[in-house]
Amino acid sequence: MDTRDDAAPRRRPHPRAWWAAGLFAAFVSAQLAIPTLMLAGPRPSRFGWQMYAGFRALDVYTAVRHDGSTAPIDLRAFFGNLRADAYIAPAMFVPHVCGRHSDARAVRVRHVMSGDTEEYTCSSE
Amino acid sequence: MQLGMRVAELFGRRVDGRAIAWARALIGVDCVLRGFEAWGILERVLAPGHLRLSYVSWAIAPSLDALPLYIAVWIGLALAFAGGWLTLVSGPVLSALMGYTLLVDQQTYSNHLYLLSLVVALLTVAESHRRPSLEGADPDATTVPAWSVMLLKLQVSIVYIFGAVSKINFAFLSGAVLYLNLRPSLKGMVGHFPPVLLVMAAASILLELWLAAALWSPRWRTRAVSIGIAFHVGIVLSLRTSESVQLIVFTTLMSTLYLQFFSHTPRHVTVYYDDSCGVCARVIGWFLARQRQPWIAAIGSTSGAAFQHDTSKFDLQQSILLVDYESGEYATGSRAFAALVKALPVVYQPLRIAALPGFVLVSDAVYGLIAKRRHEISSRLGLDRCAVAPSIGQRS
Repeated sequence: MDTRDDAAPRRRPHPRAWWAAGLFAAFVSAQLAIPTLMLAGPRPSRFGWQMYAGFRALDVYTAVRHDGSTAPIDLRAFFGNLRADAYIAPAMFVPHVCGRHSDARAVRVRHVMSGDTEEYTCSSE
Repeated sequence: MQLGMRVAELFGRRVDGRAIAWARALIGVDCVLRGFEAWGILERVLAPGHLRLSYVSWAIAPSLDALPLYIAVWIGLALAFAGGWLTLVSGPVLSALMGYTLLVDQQTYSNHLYLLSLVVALLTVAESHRRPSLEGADPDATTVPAWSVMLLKLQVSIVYIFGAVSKINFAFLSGAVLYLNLRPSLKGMVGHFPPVLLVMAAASILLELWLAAALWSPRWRTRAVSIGIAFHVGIVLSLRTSESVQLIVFTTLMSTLYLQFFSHTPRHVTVYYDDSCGVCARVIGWFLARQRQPWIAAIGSTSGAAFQHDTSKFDLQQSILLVDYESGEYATGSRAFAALVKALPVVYQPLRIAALPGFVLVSDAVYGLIAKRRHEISSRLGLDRCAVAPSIGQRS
């Protein structure tokens, strides 16, 4: 297989060359800028070509019952195709946990990456 | 030179478009495969009882009832794109549909799907519709814009560079990420030898960086392609089977994009062959009959007076000999055949893989086997038997 660069015959300059140049510059700029910005975030991040680039643990949810006992929440029971780079907003998710665990008085969220723990009270309604 | 003239020159330049035609066909098929994979993913995401993780508010996912239609449109567009049918419509719509799928939910993101969406868009602007397709071959459409091919090549290097740089962190370098994603059978094996994981992690980063650069080097390009394909196949075979389809899609995609780094313009060549062997003459005749223009000049080994090159260092009884008209470079065996294939229409071009490092070991072995038995084969096929006994040693 030949390894030399192409040397096909040249035609007359394309009248849309400026459009092509603009598209070329925009595409390359975006493809350099977006992944570079993504490097500043946790790995893996989206749109940054970060395939298998790191370990990003999802927050750990625990249902806290009225008697003080706890039960781990299996996130896979709530989501069909959960990815490590997904962000689950506790304010959105906690009501669903409370809805399925009727004996829960609160939901504890441990943010694995930061080590912080928060507790959200289940609404009585 | 004025900027306008320079832009016009750079962005008016065109290159042979046969690799673009192949990329369109193969990546279209890749999109079909990814469409079926997306069906399964979306079915799980949209299943009753499962929660959605909105990514952008305006991107509304199809309902579960509408999902088969959504996927049917996807696969229909992918098939049309692969066949080159209405490419100016099927390409942009397919690209947009795949891009939209990335945005309907956080659970539908995939780097491979993102790359597919971008590449389909790039192939559309690369005028891949003008290459041989279901719409019919346009005899004038032998070239495509060089800048669009350059974008595809840059995209490959960008994926490798950021793929490598993003892996430079403790979690990956420790081998933990690899370990977590390995197939269970391999986990058991390498789990006893943690240093293996450290080496694998460091090697994959170095390899990705090397590929990003080596594909641009005429000297290293063919090796990079062989090593790159082996790397991707290795990933498919070693990582979790739940990821296999997406990894196969990614492997096919990257391997197809490698084609863009090569010159596909046919070159004028002279081929010397054993014209006393029936099957040899028939094969050379087959090439001559199928070349689109007279790129190949064939000279039989018994026509010494017609020789145009110094062939004394080669044994024409052992192998065909090919001489490039412009560079004067010589090639024998399967490398010579691969060079001959360049003169053939686009459908034959995959045969050139036989000359890639690694592949050439197999193809040369097959070639040698056939060359040794060419007289017997000729006889069995009822072609002219060789008049000259096969030479064993080198020509003096």
